[in-house]
Amino acid sequence: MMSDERQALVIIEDDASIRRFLRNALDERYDLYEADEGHQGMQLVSRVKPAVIILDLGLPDMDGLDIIEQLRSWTRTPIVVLSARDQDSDKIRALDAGADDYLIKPFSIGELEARLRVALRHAPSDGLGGEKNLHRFGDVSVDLALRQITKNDEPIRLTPIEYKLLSLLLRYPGRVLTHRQILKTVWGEEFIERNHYLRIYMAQLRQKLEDNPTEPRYLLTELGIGYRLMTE
Amino acid sequence: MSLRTANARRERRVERLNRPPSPQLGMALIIAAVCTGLAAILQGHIHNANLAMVYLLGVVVAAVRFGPTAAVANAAIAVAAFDFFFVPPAFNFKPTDSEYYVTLPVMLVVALTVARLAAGLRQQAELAAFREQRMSELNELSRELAATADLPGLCVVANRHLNTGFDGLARILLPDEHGQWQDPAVKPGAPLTLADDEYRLAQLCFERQRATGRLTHDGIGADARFEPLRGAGGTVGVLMLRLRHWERLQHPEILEHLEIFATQIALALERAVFAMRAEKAHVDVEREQLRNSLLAAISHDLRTPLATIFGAATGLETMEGLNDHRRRELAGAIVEETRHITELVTKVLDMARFQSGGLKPQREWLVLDEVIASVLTRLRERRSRHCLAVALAPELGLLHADPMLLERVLYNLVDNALKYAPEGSLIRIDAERRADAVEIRVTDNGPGLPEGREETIFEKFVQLDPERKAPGVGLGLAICRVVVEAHGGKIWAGNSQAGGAIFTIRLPQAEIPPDIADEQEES
Repeated sequence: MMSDERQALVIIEDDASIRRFLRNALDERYDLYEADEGHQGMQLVSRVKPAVIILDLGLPDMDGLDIIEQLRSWTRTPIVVLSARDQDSDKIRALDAGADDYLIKPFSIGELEARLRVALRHAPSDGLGGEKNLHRFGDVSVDLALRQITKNDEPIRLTPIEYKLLSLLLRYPGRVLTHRQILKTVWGEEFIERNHYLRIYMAQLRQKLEDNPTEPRYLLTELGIGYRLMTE
Repeated sequence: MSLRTANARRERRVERLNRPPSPQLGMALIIAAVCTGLAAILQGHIHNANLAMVYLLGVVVAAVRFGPTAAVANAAIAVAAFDFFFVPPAFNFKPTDSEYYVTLPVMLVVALTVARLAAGLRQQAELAAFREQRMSELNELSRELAATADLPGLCVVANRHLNTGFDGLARILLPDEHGQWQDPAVKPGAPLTLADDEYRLAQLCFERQRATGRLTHDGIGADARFEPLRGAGGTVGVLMLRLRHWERLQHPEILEHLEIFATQIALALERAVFAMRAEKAHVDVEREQLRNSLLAAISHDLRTPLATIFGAATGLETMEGLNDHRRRELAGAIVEETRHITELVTKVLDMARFQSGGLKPQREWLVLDEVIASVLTRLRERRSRHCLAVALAPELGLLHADPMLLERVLYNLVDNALKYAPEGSLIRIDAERRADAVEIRVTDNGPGLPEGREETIFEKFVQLDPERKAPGVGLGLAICRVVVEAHGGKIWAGNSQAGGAIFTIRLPQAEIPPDIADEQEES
């Protein structure tokens, strides 16, 4: 990726067998640091300054949400959250509190690697000024500087809100954005409860940009949570 | 007849039954005075002995209008007055004519007899009317109690009848499973305001099965009375009563009436309590059955994949010199079986959660395409050997439902179709809007459902063909039904003319979709 240097990764997870699995999957490419408690984990983060944090939401000593909030008070290091299937509301709150992504147990190594790749792409080391203006996914290319969108080289017309929505998703490619985060940024604070606005505009975007809107490949729904734009 | 006039009439009857003696004596005096006046006018025109008849008439009037006390008093006063005013010498009690020594005692005997008979007759008539009134009250109570099934409703009905029938404030106290007093007529969980003394008297009444409190020997100073509510199988609870006119309860007829009321109420409450217990027992049995079936299903459906996983994993761990193909095959088996176990655990947990907590859908305005897309994504690896077609009516619009739950339903339906329809066949998802509902259909062209099984497949742990190598526990469709019904909808199954199975979900859409401001496209 960016350099040959191995990046540090902190795993905060109380389950030893999951830690072992993560270790086996990741320790060839990352310098791994493990903690089985929240407090210990946060100390580890402040000491090793990792590139990514993997955080289990169900820790014995601390609420995962508190950990995210405390970490976010001083670091922007990407956080990937691990959670069980029946904890939808926890996932949403974790993402709203500043987590970057989530994985539902059980997950495959492939999924884990994809999430870590996305998270690392957003790492603060990318620099703030270096935002790309040109984006491509599938047959679609977007030039944010010129406000031009084409599909198969045909220009596509978007409404101002559709454009705002798309550019927000492009700013965080591959990353899940919650309904709340999107509504707040695109429509404003008072629209936070109106999920249906977002749903309708996403459907319109899909109609315009996807080959098969009922089976989208790029503008993906994370049902009950939010949306994610896959650009790879 | 309005309730108010009925009440007023009953009031009068009750009052008459309980009229205190002093006004009756007054009435006796007044009637005697009137008779004396009448006799004074008639004197000289008729024979003196016939003046006694005027007095006897007075006795009859007193008896019929004012009851036995007035009649007897009037009889005595009448004889005395007749003797004093009209038997010569006038204004003297001692008659000169010795004949009157027979006349006066006979007159007294006749007057007393008439008094008793007439008063008795009147009381009979009054009692009959009173009883008739009570009977109709009782009938009304029984009718209303019979028409009510739930405990709080019964208590409200009983309280209302007691309050009007006895002119007071009634309250029904039932012990809960911890022996604490509860008033089902107030909302559950509300604190019960019972004074220590009342609490003790209620307890005593319940334990001894007899009335306590006001007008009983252990009710000194109490301002409430407690009647046991005795049903067929023992005391159900306690009736707590505060009356405006306690003296009425001293009348045996009224007390008896109260007891009959209490028995009626107790029987009705007992019936409701039995029904509740039966219901609870039924739920318990069902829960027990669910647990047993779950255990059976889990032990079978977990063991098989676990055996595969264990075997494959030990193979990978210990067998040396495995070639790449073998290794991948073993790992693939582990992945596949783990997926089955994950599915199974998810379904079992869903079902357990839906059953224990009751299911409350979090409805949102959603776009069905997104839900279906999510289902298709989750089934991506499994559906490669089938052809999936999605056809949603363009005017479908927003749907009011719980997105996560709806996804589970559609996932289970498509998953089923993938399991039962042969490879290469077509699975169709379509949806359209009806007048006040949305209908979503999942159609396959597999073997279809066996005749007569269209309903049973939605029951828990029912599988079409247990021998078949289709993994699962038979919870998928049961979950579908629970979820759809929690949305107030319906799910049913049938066969298409081509032979495949059709599952239809109908979700009522009572709410009007919200408007969204239109926007112009950028030029």
